[in-house]
Amino acid sequence: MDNFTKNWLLLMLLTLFAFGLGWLKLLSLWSFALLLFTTFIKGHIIADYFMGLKEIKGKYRLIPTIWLFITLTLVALAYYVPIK
Amino acid sequence: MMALMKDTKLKNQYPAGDFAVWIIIYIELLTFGLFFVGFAYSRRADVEMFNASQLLLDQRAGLVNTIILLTSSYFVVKAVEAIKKLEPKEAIKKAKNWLLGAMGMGGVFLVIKMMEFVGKYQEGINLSTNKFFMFYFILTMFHFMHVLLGMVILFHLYTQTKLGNYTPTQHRGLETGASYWHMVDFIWIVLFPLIYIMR
Repeated sequence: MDNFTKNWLLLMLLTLFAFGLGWLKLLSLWSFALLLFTTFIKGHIIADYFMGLKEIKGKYRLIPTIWLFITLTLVALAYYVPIK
Repeated sequence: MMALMKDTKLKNQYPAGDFAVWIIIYIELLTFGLFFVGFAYSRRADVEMFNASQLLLDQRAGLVNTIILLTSSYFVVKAVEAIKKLEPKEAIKKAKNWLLGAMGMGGVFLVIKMMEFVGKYQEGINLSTNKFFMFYFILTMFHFMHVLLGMVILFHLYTQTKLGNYTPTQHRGLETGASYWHMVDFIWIVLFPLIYIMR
């Protein structure tokens, strides 16, 4: 089995896991964090292996990863920082 | 020899395909990122309404569409790989099939999304129902337009592949279109949990 197929299967598993969390309404703080983390991993796999950024040095590889990190962190803060 | 080494080094410094598409991809990421963060912070004003509205969405449709887009992206990767690694005749045949599969998947995604939109309109839900649905329609319709454009690009890649215009050494156009299609997938990866699951 080639790397692309393995990554596609991993993406499928992570997607089913995310769906399971929502479907079973298992959204505690920890599962929310897990959901964000799996989303980050999925995005990273697409950027690195599907977009081919793994072979690229420097900033162009980092931009999608930084985007994922900032976006998901801001979403997490919006969801879990208490409203005054 | 020096020129060749320099060229190889340059290829490793820049992402695959035409660099212009990467400018577009980075701009798209910024735009969608602002929408995602806007959605998350708007939710703070009325968490209960956002959660109740989210329950009206069909999570299964979101799941199926995620699987479809990821699989479609995988098919495009396999098409590029075929062109890069196989003998021309076999490469064209396989790449054509992978691209047809990717287009088929894209088509199914659009049909499911259309069914969701029509279903919501029939229930009397639209852009002005509340802030959750305003974001839902803007984000998913904006993404829908990108999938639509992606389908046009995939069709172009298919015709160029059929004409034998991509070879193991000349496939920049194919990589450019493929990068755009992966971007559409990349954005959906965040959109799906944010709109359909997180609460």
